[in-house]
Amino acid sequence: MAEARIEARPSRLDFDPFLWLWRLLTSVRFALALIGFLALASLLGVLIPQIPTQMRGNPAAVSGWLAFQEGRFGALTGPMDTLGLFDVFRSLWFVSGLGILVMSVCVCTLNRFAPIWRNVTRPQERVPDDYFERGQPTIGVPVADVESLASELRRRRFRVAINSSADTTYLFADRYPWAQLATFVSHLALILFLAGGLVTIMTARDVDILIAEGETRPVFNPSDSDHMQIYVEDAVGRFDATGFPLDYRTRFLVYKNGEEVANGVSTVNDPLSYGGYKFHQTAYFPDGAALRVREVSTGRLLYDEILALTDRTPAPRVVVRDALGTVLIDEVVIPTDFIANAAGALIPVPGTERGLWIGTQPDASTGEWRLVVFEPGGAETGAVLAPGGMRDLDGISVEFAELTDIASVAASSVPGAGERTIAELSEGISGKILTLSPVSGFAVALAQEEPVVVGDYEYTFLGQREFAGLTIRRDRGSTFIWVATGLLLIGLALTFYTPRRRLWAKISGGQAAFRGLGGRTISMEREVRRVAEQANQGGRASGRSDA
Amino acid sequence: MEQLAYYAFWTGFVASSIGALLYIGNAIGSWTTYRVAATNVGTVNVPVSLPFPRGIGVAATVTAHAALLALILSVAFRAAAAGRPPLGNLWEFTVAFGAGIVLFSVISEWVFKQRTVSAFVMPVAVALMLIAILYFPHELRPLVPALQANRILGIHVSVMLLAYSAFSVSFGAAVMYLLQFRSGGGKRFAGLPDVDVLDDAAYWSVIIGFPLLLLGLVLGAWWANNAWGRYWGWDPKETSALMTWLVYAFYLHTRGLRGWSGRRSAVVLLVGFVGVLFTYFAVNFWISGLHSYAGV
Repeated sequence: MAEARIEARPSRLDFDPFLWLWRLLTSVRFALALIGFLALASLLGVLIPQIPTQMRGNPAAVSGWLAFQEGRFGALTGPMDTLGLFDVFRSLWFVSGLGILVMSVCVCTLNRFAPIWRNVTRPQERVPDDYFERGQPTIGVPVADVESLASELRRRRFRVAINSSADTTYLFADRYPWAQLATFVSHLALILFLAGGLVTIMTARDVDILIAEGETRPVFNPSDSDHMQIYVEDAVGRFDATGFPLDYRTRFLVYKNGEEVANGVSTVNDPLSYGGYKFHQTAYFPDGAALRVREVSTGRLLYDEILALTDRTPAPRVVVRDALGTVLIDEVVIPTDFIANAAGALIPVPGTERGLWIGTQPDASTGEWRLVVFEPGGAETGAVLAPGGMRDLDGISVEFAELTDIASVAASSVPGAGERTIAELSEGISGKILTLSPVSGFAVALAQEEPVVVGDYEYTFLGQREFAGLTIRRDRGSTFIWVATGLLLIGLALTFYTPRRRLWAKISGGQAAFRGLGGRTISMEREVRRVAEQANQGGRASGRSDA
Repeated sequence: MEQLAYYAFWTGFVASSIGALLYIGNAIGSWTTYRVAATNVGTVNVPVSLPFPRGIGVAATVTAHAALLALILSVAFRAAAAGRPPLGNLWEFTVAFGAGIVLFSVISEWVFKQRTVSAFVMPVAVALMLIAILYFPHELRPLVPALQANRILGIHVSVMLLAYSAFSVSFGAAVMYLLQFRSGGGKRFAGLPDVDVLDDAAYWSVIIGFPLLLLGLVLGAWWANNAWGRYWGWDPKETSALMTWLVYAFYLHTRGLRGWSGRRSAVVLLVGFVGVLFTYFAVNFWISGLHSYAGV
């Protein structure tokens, strides 16, 4: 009577989570899924606008940016933000994917090392006969002499092993088996890449500073061991005739503990290096103005700053003509009166006792700048002109020739100027002019190095100054990246370009059936046929045969 | 010298176009014409298949070599005129890219002794050059300061375009594979190579392009580290190039995986080349980023 076989079904209690995880992480299909996931995530990060780097850490800026995105994504904006689609590369799911990739690479490497090492050091030299009958077709070549064949293979750097049985000879040829180990080099490099990224995230330091020529600025807090100071000697921006930028560079000195430790020039592609830090030329700004204010009575220096005139104020160029067409005024009006959304100035008309208030204001419906002209106490109500427009005002014509703009900034704490004064930099007849308005109720135009006294204070415009934007950065993670790069390239080169090949042949009756591994199908077939041809020629020459 | 470069480009473009047509003719093998035949019910038009002249393949090869020479001269003249590597804007890069594709087409023909792959690769080069003619200004202009690093600019961009050019061969081979594949084995079109040859050609081009793309990415990272102070910032151009690299990594991992060889791998190669074109065009034209200044 046959025994009944009772096969136990696996129970849930037999489930081994570690084994399951191990199998998952060593699965090639899982690795493919991970690679596909990262590629898809990268695509999302390219197609969907990402939160700008400079806004990170500023919740108000990020909120404003997201509000702007609602114009494009509407009601989807909120869910997209929740899912991290506006910050893909810092999202939890993306970083987790990278982490799982590292784990998978590590586990795969551990899992495959032993069998690959065995395959390299103790390959299977003898395969069963049915190996030559199943799967891919074999490469059939005539072989006159096995020893000639073996010699030819050895000449091509194969290690050859021959086994004979009855009337069949089995040949094994192996070339550069160690190249299989290159995969571990490549995958180790991947881990190093991610490690480098982690080191960067955790340890990189950087700071952005904007320094004017002649200024010294600190880098890091005084209590910081890396505290240093930077003095900019010269910030240069070169442009061609059309204003196209050609070159930005900064000459500066680095001080540490009061001593000069480095000096040189940084350009966009050639930063200065010191103490593990690189000083990158990242910005250039031409519109700075050095202003000094002294107390008249004591001569005490009260204010010595370089203003960065980062705003642009519309400044119309107007042409005023008399009734005969003679040009009375042809100049850019520097606004010194700021009334609501209009900015202008009272301009005396030469040769008359008249004055015109000329300024600009944006059109309520289109937002385009319009010229506003009126004559205080004049017979006519005034005019609002579009660019290129002209109006006759009681015998004189005013033409809005063009709209330009000038560098400006609202400066605070300027002695004698109240809480806020508008500083504007314009081109005068003999150089730059710095206009401050209001200063004790007046608009003060300062020519370079020509002090002007207003009330209790003496104002001196020392000249235009350029600003250099520098990013000072130290990143130890970059070393990992370059090492990883070298390893990955070496690993790939060994994997792809080493002519590794492993051949098995079954030789009987003057015919050999080859199968093999390594390289492309066509190149393997070509090499086998060439080897056989060379071997047969060599065998005929020496008079040997396989008989 | 700038004019010489332009004339040489046009010579290369025309030669490439003629070469592409010759390669296609060689691949098709014959053309159909109609002859009038008399029957007892009247005359009828009868389609007749006529073979292309036997020398069409040789003519294609010669023309491709001439195109390559002209395009190389165009790049060289442009470099001499500009005093820098001619890879600073889309016109220059597209001309160089077209030259690279023609180069790899010629090389793959020499390696695999097959002209038919070029029938699918040369048209890509022609299409790119046509886009350059239609949309990109060719006048020489100075480079912005960020691009004024002649050595790294030349090496980084050259390596990238060589990688993309290599992938164009895998694209052509993948298209042919999908056309030629029959589930029962054998060849669908007698004039096209075996699928094994096409698979080899695709793999060969990927193992050239994949490390080159990695090298290009890393050179870009090195340059970014110098210029911008960070080696990687998930800039759209960087990220889409990385995405393309991942697609080809996917392809390489599928080789040897049961059920993934053949047609599925060929589809992956098509996706990879779409990635190449996306990185090349979409990021420059539609997506802003730090690389956008190297635009039109």
